[in-house]
Amino acid sequence: MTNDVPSTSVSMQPPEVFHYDNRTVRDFGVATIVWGIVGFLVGLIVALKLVYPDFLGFVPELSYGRLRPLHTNAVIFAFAGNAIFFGIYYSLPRLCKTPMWNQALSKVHFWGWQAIIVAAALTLTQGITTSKEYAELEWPIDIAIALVWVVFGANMLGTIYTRRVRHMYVAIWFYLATFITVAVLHIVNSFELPVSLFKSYSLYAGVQDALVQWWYGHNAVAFFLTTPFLGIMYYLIPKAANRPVFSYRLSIIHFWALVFLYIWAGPHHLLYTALPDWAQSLGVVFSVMLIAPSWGGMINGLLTLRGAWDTVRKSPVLKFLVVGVTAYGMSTFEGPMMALKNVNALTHYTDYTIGHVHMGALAWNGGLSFAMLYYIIPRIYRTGLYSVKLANVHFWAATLGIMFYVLSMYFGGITQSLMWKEFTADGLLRYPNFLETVTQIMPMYALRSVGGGLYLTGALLAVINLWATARQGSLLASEEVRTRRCRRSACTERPTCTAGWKADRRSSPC
Amino acid sequence: MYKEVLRSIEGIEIYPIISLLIFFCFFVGLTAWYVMADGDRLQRLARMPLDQEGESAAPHENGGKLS
Amino acid sequence: MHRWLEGRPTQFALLTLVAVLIGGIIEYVPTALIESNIPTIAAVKPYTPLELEGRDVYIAEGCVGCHSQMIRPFRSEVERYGDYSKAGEFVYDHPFLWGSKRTGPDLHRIGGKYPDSWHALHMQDPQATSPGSIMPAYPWLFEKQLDDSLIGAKIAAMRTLGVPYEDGYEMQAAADLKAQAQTIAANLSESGMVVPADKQIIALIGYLQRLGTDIRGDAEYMAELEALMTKIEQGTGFEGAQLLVEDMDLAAGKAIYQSQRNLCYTCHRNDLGGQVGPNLTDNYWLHGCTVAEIMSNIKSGFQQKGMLPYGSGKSLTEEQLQQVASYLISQQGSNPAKPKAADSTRASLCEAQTW
Repeated sequence: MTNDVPSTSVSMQPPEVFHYDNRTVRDFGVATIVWGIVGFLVGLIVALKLVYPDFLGFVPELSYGRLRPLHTNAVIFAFAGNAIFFGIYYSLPRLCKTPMWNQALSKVHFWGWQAIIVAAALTLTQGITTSKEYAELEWPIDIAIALVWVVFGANMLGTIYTRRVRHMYVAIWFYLATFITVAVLHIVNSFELPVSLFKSYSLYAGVQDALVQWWYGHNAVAFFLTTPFLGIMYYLIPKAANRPVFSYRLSIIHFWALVFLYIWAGPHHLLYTALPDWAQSLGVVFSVMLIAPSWGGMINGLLTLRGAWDTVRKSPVLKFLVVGVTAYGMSTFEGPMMALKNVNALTHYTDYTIGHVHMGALAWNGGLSFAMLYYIIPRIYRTGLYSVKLANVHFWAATLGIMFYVLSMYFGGITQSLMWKEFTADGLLRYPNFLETVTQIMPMYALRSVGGGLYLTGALLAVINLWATARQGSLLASEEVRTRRCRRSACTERPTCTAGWKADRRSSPC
Repeated sequence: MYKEVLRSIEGIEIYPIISLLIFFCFFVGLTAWYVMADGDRLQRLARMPLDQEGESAAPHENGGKLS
Repeated sequence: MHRWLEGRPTQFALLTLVAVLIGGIIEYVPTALIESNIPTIAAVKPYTPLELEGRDVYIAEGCVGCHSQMIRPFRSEVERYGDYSKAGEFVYDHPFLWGSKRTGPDLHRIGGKYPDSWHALHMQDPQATSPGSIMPAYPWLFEKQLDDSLIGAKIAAMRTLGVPYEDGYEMQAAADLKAQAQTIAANLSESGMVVPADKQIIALIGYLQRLGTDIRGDAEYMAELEALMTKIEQGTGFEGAQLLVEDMDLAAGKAIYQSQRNLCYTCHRNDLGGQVGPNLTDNYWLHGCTVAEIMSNIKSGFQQKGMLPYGSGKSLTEEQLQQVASYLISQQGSNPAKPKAADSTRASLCEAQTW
C-alpha cells in the first residue's frame, strides 16, 4: 500500500483563477432570515389564536385553519429550505474547489424557489390546498417545485462533476442523498388528478393515501430537515471550531445507516389506525433502530468540539451549533420513544407532538440556520460580526423561548391525554366533554405563545445584527481563488488534483 | 378483516424480511470495511473543510475590519 | 469498493436512490396490491355531490388541522366518539382526512350526533353551543355561495380514481346537490335559522352529518329508531311521578342539567332560554308537560330532531330524571334574556296548574 504522494511537478505552471459566487449565497441568506421572520410571526399568530380565538377577527384569509399550513410551509420550505441552499451554495464550491457549475441555474433556482413560496402564501390563504400535511400545495405548484428541485440538483451535480478534489467530503453525500430522496418523495406523494387549475384529488384513497402521505411526511423530516443540516453540520462545526470532525469513519457509517433506516419508519405516524399491523410494527422497529445513527451524528458533532469548549463560550456560532446538535440528539431520542406503541397511545394527537417538532425545528434547524448566518454573512461581507453581544442576547432569547415552548407543550400534551383516558369508578369517562380537557391546558397555550414570542424577538435581533454587519462591510460578490493548476489524469477524465489539495490516488490504476 | 386480506397475499411476510436482510448485509459489510479502512487516509479526508488554500482569509468574528 | 464510490457522484446517487427505494417499495407495494381486493364494506357508499362539495369546504378551511377522523381502538376513544374506525370506511376518501392533531374532538362519528341546526349555530358562534370553546367562528361560510360549477368534473375525476359513481351521473349531480341542500336548509329554517340553500355552510353540514354513518347500515339504524319510537308511544312507566320541591333535589337536577356529561346547555342554554333546542322556561311544550312526560322525553330523546336519549344505558337513573325534570319545572317563568321563540305551529300551551 502506497501513501498518497503529492505531486511536485506542477509548481511551474501558472496559477489557475476562478471565482466563488457569493451573491447567490447572500441572496439565499437574506431569504432565510426574511422568510424565517414571516414563518415565526405566522406561528405566533396561530398560537395566539388558540388563546384568543377572535384575535385578528374572523377573516377567512387569516383563520387558524388556513394559517396553520402557511406557518408549517413557511418554516419548513421557506426558512429551512433557503437555509439549506444558503449552506450548500457556500460550502459545496469550497469543498469541491470549484465555483457552482452554472450561474444561470443558480439564479433560476433562487428566484424559482422564492416564487414558489409566494405562490404558496397566496394559495394557502385562499383555502387552495390538498390538505396533505407539508404537501398542501396544489398541483401546478407541485410541478414548479419538482422543476426547481431538478435545477438545484443539476447545479449541484454539475459542481460535483467539475470538482478539483477527488474525494467527495461526507457533507456532499448528505447533500446528494437530500436531493435524490426529496425528489422521489415529492413526486410519489404528489400524484393527483387535477379537476381544475386549483383543485385536484389525491390518486390514492384512505389507508393507502395515509401510508404514502406519512411515508412522505416522515421522510420530509428526515431528508429535508435532517440530512442537509447534518451535511452542513459536518462542514460548519469543523470550520467554526477549526478542527477536523471527531470521526470520519463514524460519519460514513451513520450516513448509510440513516439513509437506509429512515425511509422505513413512516408508519409510526399511524399507530393504532386502520393501517395494517405489520406495517405499523415495521415502522416501530425501524424507528427504534434509528436512535443509533442519529446519535452517531450528534456524538460526532459534539465530540468534534472536545477540548474547544472555551471557544464555544465566546462564539455565538458555536453556541447555536451546540444547542442545535444537542436538540437534534434529544429529538431523535424522543422520536423513537414516541414511536413505541404504548407511548404513542399517550402522545399521539396531543400537543406533545407539537413540542417534539418544535424542539427539532426551533433548536436544530433554527440553531444551525442562525449559526450559518452568523458564520457566513460576515465572511462574504469581508468584515466581523457587528455585535457578538447582540448575537449572544439572541442566543439566550431563542434558548429560553424554546424551553418555554417545549416544556409547556410537553406538560399540556400529557395532561390532556391523561384526561382523555381517565375513567370514573363507575366505568364512565371522567371528562366526557372534550372541551374540559381543552380549557384545562389553556395556560400552557398562553405560555407557548410567550416562548414563540421570545424566539421571534431573538430572530429580530439577528436581523438588526446581520443588517448592521452587511452595512459595515461590503459584499465580495465574486470571490477570487488562485490555485495551482490541476492536470487531467492520463487514465481517467476526472481531474486528479495535485499539490495543495492532496490527491487521493491510491485507487488510481495508474 | 384487513389482516386476512394481507395474509391472503402469497408470501407477504417475506417482503420485509428480505429487505431487512439486504439492508443488514450491506450495513455489516460497510461497517466492517470502514472499521478496517486506512485511518490516516480518513483523518486526512476529515480535514478537507479546513483546507483553506484558495479561500480568502477568514475575518475574525468580532474583528470589525479585516486586517 | 466504497473508496471507488466516494469519487463518483452518479453511482453514489444511484446507490442512495436504491437504498431509499427498497424501504419505500417494501412498505408501499403490499398496500397497493390489496387495492383490488380490499374488502369494501357494503354499506360504505360514495359521497353525494353535496357531501363531496362539503368535504372540499372542510379541506379548504383546514379543519383537518384541529380535528382527526380516526378513532383508535381504545376503550376511552370508543366511549367518547363511537365505534373505532375501519380501513374499509375510507375507500372513497381522496385524499384521506385522518389528521394528526386533536385540538378539537375527533369527528369521524360526528354524523347524526347533533341536529343540523346545532352545526349551523356552532359554526356561526362556537361559544353559543360550547361556552369556553377556542374554535373560531366561520361567518363567511354563511355568506359565501357554494361554487358547484365543478361538481360534474369532480364526479368524473372521482370515477377515474375508482369511486363507483354511475356512468353519466355527473349530468344529474347538480340537481341532486340542490335537492339535498334544500332539505338541509328546510331543517334549519324549521329550527328558526334562515340560511339560503346555496351557501357553503349547507354543504359542510351535509358532509359532517354523513361522517362515519355508513357503517351503521341503514336498516339497522332505522330499526333502532323505530324501536325507540314505539317505546315512546307506549310510555315509559313514569306515570304518577311526583314533582320534587326540596332544594336538595332541585340543586341535584340543576347539576345534572349543567354537567359536562349531559351537556343539556349546548342546545338549551345554561339559562334554559333555548337555542338549538326549544326554550324550556315558557308555557309552550311540544311533547307534554307533566313530570312523567318530561322524564320520559329526556329518557327517550328525540333522535330525529337530534336530541339524544339520556335515559338509555347508564346515563341517568330514574331518580335523576325526576330531579332534572323537577328542576326544569322550577325554572318556569324565569324569563331569561333573548329566549328562543316558541314554534307556535307545533307547541301546545301547558297551563301552570298542570304541575
